[in-house]
Amino acid sequence: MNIMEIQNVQYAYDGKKKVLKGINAQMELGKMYAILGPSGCGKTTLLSLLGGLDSPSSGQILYQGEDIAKTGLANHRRSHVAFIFQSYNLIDYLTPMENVALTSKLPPLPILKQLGLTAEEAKRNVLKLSGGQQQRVAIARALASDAQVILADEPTGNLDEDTAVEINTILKGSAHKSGKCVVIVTHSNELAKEADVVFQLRKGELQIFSASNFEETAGQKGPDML
Amino acid sequence: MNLVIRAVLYTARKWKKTLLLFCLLLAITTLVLSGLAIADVQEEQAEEVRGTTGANFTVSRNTATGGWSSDRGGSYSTQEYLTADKMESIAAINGIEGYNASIRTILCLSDRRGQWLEQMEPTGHAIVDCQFYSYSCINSKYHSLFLSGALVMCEGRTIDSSAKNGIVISKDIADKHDLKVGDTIQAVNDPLSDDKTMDLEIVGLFEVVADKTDERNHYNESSYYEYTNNAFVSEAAMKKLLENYADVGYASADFFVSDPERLESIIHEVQKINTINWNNFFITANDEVYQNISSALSDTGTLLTTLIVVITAVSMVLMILILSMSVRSRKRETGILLAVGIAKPVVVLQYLLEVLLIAAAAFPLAYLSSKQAAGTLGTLFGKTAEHIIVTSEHFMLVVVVGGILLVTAVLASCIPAMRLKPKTILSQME
Amino acid sequence: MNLWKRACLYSIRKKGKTITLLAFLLVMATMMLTCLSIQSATETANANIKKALLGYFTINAKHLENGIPEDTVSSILAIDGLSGRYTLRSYSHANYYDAGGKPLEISTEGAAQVPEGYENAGKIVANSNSQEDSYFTDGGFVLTSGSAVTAGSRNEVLIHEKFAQRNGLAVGDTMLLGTVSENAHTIPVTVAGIFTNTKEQDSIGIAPSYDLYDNIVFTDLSTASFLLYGDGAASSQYGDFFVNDPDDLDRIMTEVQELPGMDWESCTITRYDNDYQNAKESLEGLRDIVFIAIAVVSVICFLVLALFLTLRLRGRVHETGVYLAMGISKGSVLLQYLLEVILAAAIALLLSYGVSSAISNQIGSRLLSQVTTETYEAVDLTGNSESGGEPAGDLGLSEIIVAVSAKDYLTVWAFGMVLCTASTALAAYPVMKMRPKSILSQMS
Repeated sequence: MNIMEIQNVQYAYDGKKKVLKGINAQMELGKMYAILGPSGCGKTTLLSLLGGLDSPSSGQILYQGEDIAKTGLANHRRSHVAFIFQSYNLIDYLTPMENVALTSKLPPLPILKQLGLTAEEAKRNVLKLSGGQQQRVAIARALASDAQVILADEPTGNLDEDTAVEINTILKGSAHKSGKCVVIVTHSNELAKEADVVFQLRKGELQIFSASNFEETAGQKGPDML
Repeated sequence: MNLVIRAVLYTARKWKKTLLLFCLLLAITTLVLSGLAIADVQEEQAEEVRGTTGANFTVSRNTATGGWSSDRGGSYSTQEYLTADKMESIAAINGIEGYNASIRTILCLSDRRGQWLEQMEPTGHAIVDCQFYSYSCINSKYHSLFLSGALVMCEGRTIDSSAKNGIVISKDIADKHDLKVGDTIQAVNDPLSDDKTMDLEIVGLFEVVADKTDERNHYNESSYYEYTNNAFVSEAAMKKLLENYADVGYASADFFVSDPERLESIIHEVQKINTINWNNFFITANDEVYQNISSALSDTGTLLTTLIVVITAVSMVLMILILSMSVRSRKRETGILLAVGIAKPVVVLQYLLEVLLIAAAAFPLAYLSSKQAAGTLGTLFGKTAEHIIVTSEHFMLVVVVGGILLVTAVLASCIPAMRLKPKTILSQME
Repeated sequence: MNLWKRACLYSIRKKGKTITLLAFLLVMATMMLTCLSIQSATETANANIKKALLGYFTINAKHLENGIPEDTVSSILAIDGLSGRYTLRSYSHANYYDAGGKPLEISTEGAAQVPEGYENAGKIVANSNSQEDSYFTDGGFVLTSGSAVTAGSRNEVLIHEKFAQRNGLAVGDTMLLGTVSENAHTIPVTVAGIFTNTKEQDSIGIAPSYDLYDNIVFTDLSTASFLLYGDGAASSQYGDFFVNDPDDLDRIMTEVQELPGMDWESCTITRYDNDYQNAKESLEGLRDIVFIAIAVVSVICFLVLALFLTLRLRGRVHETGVYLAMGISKGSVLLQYLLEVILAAAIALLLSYGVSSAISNQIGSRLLSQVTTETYEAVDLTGNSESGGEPAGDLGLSEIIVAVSAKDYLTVWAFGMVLCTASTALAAYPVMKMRPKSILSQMS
């Protein structure tokens, strides 16, 4: 069943430059999606539209078949989606546990432990954690919420390769094991390969590949062509 | 890229922050400048209040040290009188606003046709009914009857040295005889002798305010004449009217000071005048009204001064707080600049330069706005504020002190960031 | 996590920022409180100046058969705005006799005439305090021995040095005063003091015998009342009543004339506030200055606070974006920021009471030491000079108290809270207007 659906979405900055020219896509629970494309192609814009941070110039974003513009963007952000950012965006005066508690009523420590933080780290000043740990906290904050859809904007962009792989595994696990719908914006083919479905944004239009499909295409054309 | 360019770029690119900081500096500087101007005008105003208390001293001839003589009218003192040059030498002392001395006599007044002017309530005796109790005045403004408010000028002007043959009479008498300011009447001291009759011009009219029937006023010669039957004539005219009388002169003179606080020192100066034989004269100080209000008045002054001190101190604290806040919010930037190899002093200098750039714009504008502030607020509430003037001295003071304060504040708030290693600063980033 | 907890955690964890805010608000609140207490103190000082300028009105009841009775004086003194300082006066004439009833000799040298029936009579002056009579204050009379006649005196007189010599009277002796009328009645009085004149009488040759300085006798009000109105009465001819605020004179004089039991038509009521009128304009200028100073401080305080809070909120644009992305509503975020400021403001206001009280005490003691060290130094004159009028003793001025009143404190609380709320809302407005996406992309 589709948890989210993009219908004919167009988006233009200041009503001039069109970055999205009528996009259609569907997303399901239990799957990880990757939005791939070169810088400035509108990846993050698309993610913001999905997350209700912005509204499209035309077209609709549906959550469980209902237009989020009608049910309320703030409500959508609060109840349906959770964000993970490249720069973590943790609240710096709250500890990891408190950051998680921002969105959840569940006890935060088990979630953080599950993601590899020690009890001591879970109470530390977030600015004193490593980048990978901070991102784990951000993911924990997203997972702990009731949100069915997790939107991640270049979640591993600031991390080293090994950590990136770990984070990726966690996100994948969130989709496959926890049954969430995970949408990742990335410019890395490697990361995209891990997704179940890849949306490739090009000149404002969306191409959809299945994971296996994409590997072939990527293999033939090489990442530079994308 | 040198630090000046960086400073300018920061100021220009982060224009919202710059604007905020600018507004804050402007507001605080305006506050201090207005405060200084208010402190100054308070001084002036308090001086003005003191000046209205009519503090004066009287120089009187000392009958105790002079000789005595007697004739048919009884005994009289032969002590020397106060002469014009003696009075002028006293009046020349700095701080004396004006003076008056009077010779009293009873003048018979008549209109130009020689018709006697009748008193308000005639007794029926022709020779008595035309008698007016008259004072010669050097400056009638300072005559005690006018100063005490017993009489008030209602038309024309007062008697002073510019009115050679002038006279001021009561409005009642003028109305009774159809006289008005500018008319000429005649006066003679003793119509039964060969005293000179003179033409005098009515230069002003007075009205009676005090209750003359109150017997409190009945302790001297003037008690026997109604206030309406008083007259004030020019000094020069009185001299001619009394030229047949050798033994007439000023027994005392009242000198009015502009600031009662200086009364004592002025009197001491007067006593040093060696052309006057101080054995023959004595001085009486009279600043009762000032004495009554002086403590309350100086309280007001102290309170206002304290207010200004509080304002200034608070402004300094605010300035430091604001600057330290703005510098501390740039910790990360400091880290980056240090990381790219820019020396710590250069970074500090850049921040300083930015603040000084803003101050350079804010201070002169505060000079202009503070000139407006007090006036606008004053008129808004219907209060007068025209005397509140921000002088260039105030401005210089604020610029110098403000400048030093800004530099100190920036330096002080840089200390925590400067003590850290660039790596620590960067990892502490928000 | 609710916004209360967020607000508290922010305030605790961001110690530096909270302390800066606290310091800022504390300084502001203290300044406002100090300003207000200074303002009310200057009001008192101003009222003191007005009072010290001694505005008063005089009731001339000379033409009333019974003068001003005692109870009318009490009713007048009960009117709101009277300072309580007053002088009653009566003037009369009396025949002078020795204790045995033998007429005493008066001076006639220089008299214009000796009116019939006044061969042994003189002017009687009665005053609440003989030292305050115009003969003493303006006429140059001085007491050479004995003591003055005051409000508490009964059957006492002051006589002239020469009169005493002529009749062999001394302080403590008894003489009789008798009414100058057909059915003369007398009252025995004691000589309480002897005076002399320092200036020569200028009305020699004009004045009738009873007005000659030598023949004047000062007495107390009850003795004068006996002579004027007969036995049992305690009335006086004139009353001078001082007011606290000369601006109230008109109102008070109207109220006086509405008091029952007096034929006000036959009285003359005159206002005397010349000193005040002279100083009025300058005094108002002085008041205006205080007012303007407080107004300038208040307005600029508001500006600075609003700007400061804006500066603070601008540093939290990014945080706002994160909250919004998390689905926390704008209202809740704004409320959190507001709560942080209000928390700090509450603490600052509590502290400011102590701080400004301390400052006020400081000012208060400065004023006090000023009074003790700087009390008016009477013009110190040496040699051939003397100080004229003495300052009017105890003027009953109010003590100037510089203290934070409950009213001021409440005003600052209310004003402060409104100010914090308004400026936070104002400062937050641009941030709150942004879309969450642009807030996040604005992060630095």
